[in-house]
Order: sequence, then C-alpha cells, then structure tokens
Amino acid sequence: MKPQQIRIIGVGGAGVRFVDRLASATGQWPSVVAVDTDAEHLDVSQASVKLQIGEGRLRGNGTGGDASVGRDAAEDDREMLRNVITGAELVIAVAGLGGGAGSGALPVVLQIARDEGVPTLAFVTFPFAFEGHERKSQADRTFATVREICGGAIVVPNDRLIDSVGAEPVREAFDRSARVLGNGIRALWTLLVRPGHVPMGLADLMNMMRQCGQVCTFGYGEATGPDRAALAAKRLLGGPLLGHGRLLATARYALVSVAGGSDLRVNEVRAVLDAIGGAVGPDARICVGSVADDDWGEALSVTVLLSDQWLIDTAAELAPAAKTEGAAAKISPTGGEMKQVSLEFEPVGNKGRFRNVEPTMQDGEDLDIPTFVRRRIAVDR
Amino acid sequence: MARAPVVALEIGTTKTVALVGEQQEGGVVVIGMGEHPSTGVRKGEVVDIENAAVCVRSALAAAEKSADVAIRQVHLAVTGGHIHSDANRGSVPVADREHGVSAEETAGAEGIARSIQLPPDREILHSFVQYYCLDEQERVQRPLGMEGAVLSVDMLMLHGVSARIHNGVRVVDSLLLDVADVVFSGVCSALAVVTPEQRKAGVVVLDIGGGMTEYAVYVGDVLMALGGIAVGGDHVTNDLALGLSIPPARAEGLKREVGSALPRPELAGRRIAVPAEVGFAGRDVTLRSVDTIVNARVDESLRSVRRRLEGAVSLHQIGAGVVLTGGGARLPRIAEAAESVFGLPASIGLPLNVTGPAAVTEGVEYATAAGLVLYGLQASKTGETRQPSDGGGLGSLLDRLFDRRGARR
Repeated sequence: MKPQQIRIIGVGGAGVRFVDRLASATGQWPSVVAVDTDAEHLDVSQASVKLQIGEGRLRGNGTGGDASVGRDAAEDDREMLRNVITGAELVIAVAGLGGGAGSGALPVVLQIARDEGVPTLAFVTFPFAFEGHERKSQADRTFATVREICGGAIVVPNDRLIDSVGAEPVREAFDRSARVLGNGIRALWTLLVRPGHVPMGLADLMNMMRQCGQVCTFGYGEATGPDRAALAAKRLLGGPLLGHGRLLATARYALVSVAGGSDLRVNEVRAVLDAIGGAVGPDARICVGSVADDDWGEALSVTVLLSDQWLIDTAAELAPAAKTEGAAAKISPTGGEMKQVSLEFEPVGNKGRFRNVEPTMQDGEDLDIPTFVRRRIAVDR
Repeated sequence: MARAPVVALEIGTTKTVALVGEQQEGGVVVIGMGEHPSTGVRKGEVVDIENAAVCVRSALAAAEKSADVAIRQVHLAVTGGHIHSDANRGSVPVADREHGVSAEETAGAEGIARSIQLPPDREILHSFVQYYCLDEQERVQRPLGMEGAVLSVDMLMLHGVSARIHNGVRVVDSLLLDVADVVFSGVCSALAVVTPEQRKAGVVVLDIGGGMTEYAVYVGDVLMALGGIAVGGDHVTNDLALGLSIPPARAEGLKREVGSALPRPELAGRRIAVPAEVGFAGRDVTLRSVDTIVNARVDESLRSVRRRLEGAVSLHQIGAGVVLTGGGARLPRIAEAAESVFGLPASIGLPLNVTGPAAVTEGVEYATAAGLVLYGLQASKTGETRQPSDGGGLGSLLDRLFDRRGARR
C-alpha cells in the first residue's frame, strides 16, 4: 500500500495531538489530516492538511465538551471531510473519546468513509478515570456507535498508560498518552506502507480485527542501543499497556510487528518474537510482520495488536469449533519456535447462493458479494 | 357490476402468489388467494420453467378453491434487473391553429416519444405520459383543443429483455392458461400501497422483495422514475450465511427472528444460539455481528436506490416521503434506515387499496399481487385486453389508472 493511499485523520484536540507526533516525527507525510473546531489547536498542528470544522457555528472555538456540537460541526463541513477521504484506500481515524470534537466528529468521519466505500480503522483512547464519569459515559456512547460503523477499532484506555494514578503530574500523563499513541499509529502506518522482510498488510490487519470482534488494544515497546531488542520486548511485556503481560497471556489473537532502521537484524526480530512467544497463552494465534525503514533511525519498536478480554463480552463462551481452529495454529508452549500463521481472509469471490446466477453489477461492483466483505467491515464470528 | 374477477399472479423469488379479486360496491375485494414457496426463480426471474410451473399450479389451484372460480386467464407480474426506464420527448406541429391540438396530434407526439432506439433483444413493457408541452408552456396536463404551434410530450418508457420477460409467460402457457397482461411489479405495488394524495405530494415507493427491489417515484401524480435493482432480502440472508458460517436456512431464520436494519448497541453483547441441523453442529453468534452484516447490506441497497433516483428526480420534491413495502419491509427499523438514507420521512405501506382477508391487507408481501388485481380490474373496466404490440393501440388504460394519462403500447 502506498503512503498516499492512507489518510490518517486526527479528530478533535487529542486526535490532532496524536497524529501530530507522527507528522513531526517523519516530516513530509501528505496524508496526515487534522480535523478540529478549535482554530488555535489547528494553528500549532504539524499536519499537512488542517480542516477547521463548524466555523460558521463556533467561530474557531472549542465545543465545550459537548459531543452534539462536535457532530453538528462535522455535519456542517461534510463535503470538506469527504474531499480528503475520497480516493483513499484506508482511513485511520484517531481520536480521544470523551470530549466534544473527538466524540462528536469521529462517527461522522467514519460514516463518510463508509459511504465512500473506504475501509476504516478507528484508533481511540478512553478518558482517564480522573477525568470523571461524564466523560467516561460520553466515550462509551460514542464507542458504541463507532464500533458499528468502522472496520475495526484499536482501543487504548488512558488509564493503562500510567502505573499508579497520582504518581505523575496530570500534564505528563496526557503527554505520555500522546507519545505512546503517536508512536503506535506511526508503527501501524509503517507496517502498512513499507514492504517488510515478513510482509503483513491490510488483509492481515482486517482479519485480525474480524477475529477479535472488531475491537483490539495495542501494546508498544521501543528501545535503542546494543541490547535494544531485548529491552524493547521487556518494555512491551512489562509495561502497563498490556497489563504487565497479563493481556498477552489471555489474548486469543495477536498481531506482532517489529520495526527498526535498515540495520534491523534477523536475530533481533527473533529475540523479540521469542520473548512474546513465551508470554502468550498456548491457544493464541499469532501473526507476525517485520519491517526495516530508515525513518526509525536507531530505534527498534515492537507493536502488538491483540484481542482484549475486557472488550469481548463473552470470549469464554467461544464455540468449540473455533477453539480447535485456534489450537491447530498454536505456538509451542516453550515459546522457542514461532511460525507465521497464515490467516484466512474472507475470499472476495465467495458469493454463496448467488454463485451461479447473473451477477448484480453496479459501477463495476458485484453486489452479490456480501456488503461487509466489499466494505471490509470486520465481523466477529 | 358483474365483471369477471381478475386473477393476479406473481411468481416471486420467495413465493408464488395468486390473488383473485373483483370489483364490488365498496371497492376492490380480494375473494380468493393461493400461495406456494417458489422454486426455479432467482432475483425475481424465472430460471426454471418446469419447477416454477409446479409452484404456479399449486398456488392457482388453492386460489381457485378459495375463490370458487375457474381460472383460465391471469395477469402476470414481471420484474428483473434487466428492466430499465428511459425518458424521451416527442414533438409534432399543430396543424389547425383554430381548433387547437387534436387527438391525432397527441397520439402522434406520443408515438414519436415512444420510438426510442432499443437493442433488438429488448421491448417496451410500459410507457407513461409525464407532461405535455405546448410551445413554451411546460407541464400542460390536457392539451386537447388548446392553441399552439408545436405539441411535445415527455414519456417514460419501461423496457426489458424480451426473452426474460417471456419466461414468466411460458410458465403460464405451459399450464394451458392465458396471460391477459404482463405488468411490471413496481407499478403494481405502487398502485396497492399509496393514495392519489401521496402521489400528488410526491412519494417514493420501494418494494423490497426476496431477490429484487423495485422503485416507483411520483411527483405531482406524474411517474418520474421507475425501475429495480436485483438486490433483496436474499442478499441479507446470503451475507449472514457467509459472514457467520451458518447454513442458508439458519441465516434466513436468524434474519426473520432477530434481524434489524439498524444496529442495537444496547444489545451488542447478546449471543444468539443458532440451532444445529444436518451437517451443521450449531453455534453461537453475537447479535452485534448479525446487526453489522444486516445493516451494511440494507444501508448499501437503500443508497443504491437513492443514487438511481437522484438522476431522475430531486428528493426535495418528495413531500409524502418514502413508502416501503414487500417482504423486506418486515425487517424491524427498516423505515428508520430509509429515513436516514433518503433524508425523508419513511413509513411501511400495506396494500390498503384493496379489501379482503387480513392476511393480504396487512401483508406487505402481497403488495405486488394486490396491486396487480387493481391494475387488471381497471383494465377490464375500460375493456382493455392485451393487444398485439403494433404500437397503435395507445389504449387509455393507464389514463384511467393514473387518473389521466399514460398508455400501453
């Protein structure tokens, strides 16, 4: 996938901050878009495209935390949003849920992409507990909408970014949230646009989403120096994002990406995978990709997307059939050996009962193929 | 009052229906009905004449019995993705300034408008007068006797592939019965479910069937768009079967039992047990995945229709909103889904323009057959029967039907 085929759209104050990291980290990324109602926020953004929504309504001010205002602002400028989305192959929409602009405008952005037939991923954070109940329930409401219209959602509860509440200043907590999310998005982007040693693409990602019910969380570790592989893995496994490795142990599916500069060595990738292999449960299915890209300089980063128990309502009730399927591709408990599992993606040609009838064509699209397949909407089986 | 009853036959994708109706004092009454699940029909078209004939025979036999009539002739509903409409204008000079437009000139203009170039495998199924126009004066309703130099007429022609239209007729032929007329399903359902007031105010009628979705749009009581897309309830079922890896019959059951056109986030975590059947061990699925699959398909289908309509009519002109009928209208919250796609109020349309058994008047899936009864009775009222298509008949059949204008070739 080419960089220009992906639009990374930061929506609202937090969303813009997250994509900013990524825009400033690598310079010229034409596909990074910042969307906000707040003109001051946009002024300082590094994004290559800045869209101020709801100007007629808000005159460049914030939404005051009201999601309905954020939504109306986005609706006002639907065409402007559509223009940046049209023609893309993938939209990654990034937002912090709980506020006004992010919560209100994110569903509008996703819906436009869906209407345009562009696959979507939502990358969202949930508010810190100390932000209060109102923002939490606002985030829940938005997320219920988002998960119905996006192809997949990567969710990070902000509380997972800090080990103990109160131990660090609030400002640092938010900064850390932005840094980790920004790096995660950057790693995801790298994974999709740079052909790696072990390639992994949108199909793998969407399959992963499908397997874990459209919603997953992510873990991230990064390190430099001679021992960077072991260190990055340690930071990933020991960090709060994955519950100090607990989430990895219970995950049913995980997608692992190792990224580094062009000096990334095979034994480094292996070291990371060994460490992760030792931490996952015996029935987990793992999909691996690795990529070398000069943008990463001397750093090595490990990004893990994984199904998240707390979001999958009844993972324990998994049908027996699915369990055997998982076992067939399990990783040896010793963790010594890890192979890339080939995961099936819903074949686009599968038409079921319409197999042998004249296809219903519209604008070159075969409408007999399930809509969710063509629109790449992940479905939890 | 003793006109012969009309038998309406719809060989649908899901079911074959025969309704017997007659004109009584208070209106059109359905006096008999027969029904049989269809086989040999895909996307609204007969693909297996023998199998379809078995269903038709059974449906007609039941209708004969319940109405206590002997059926010799039927009106047949026809549909299919190959059926399209085109608008065209025809003009003639008005010869006699003093006496104004003559009936011959009106007929002449209509004939010219109707003579569109079609590929040789296609034939015109219906043609409807939209507006007359005298010189600069647009939208003249009755030009007869009016003064002017040039009379023009805008017509909407519905055409389809002859061989495919005839497949349905062949089924009836094989049972040694006559076909009195062949009528597009979309025209029928509109007749059954909307009132003249709604047609005047502007209305979109959407008949969502098993394999086809037909639409008819009226503005100011003029038919502005007519056609269909070969997508229907079967697609929803098929998407569910493939998406959840369950057998088609279970997918159909799932759709009917728990399906919803719009997602229900409040129930997203609920799991539904899909029972086992031969070759299928049974499994649980989440309501969220069911909703996601159904909503994606419904949303897309409605948008496809909307896109087609936008070429022919401005949605601002639709004062009476969208009326949904056909079996697909039974899907919960389909009206809400249509409201959000079209940005218009939407409601479910029952075939209330006929009276009879509650199963019919309260069944959206009988809209086409009920409308076809109305069509047939209107035609017999004016003594119209199926004419050899020489293009000269220009019956005033639809004239009566749609209050004033339109003609069948």
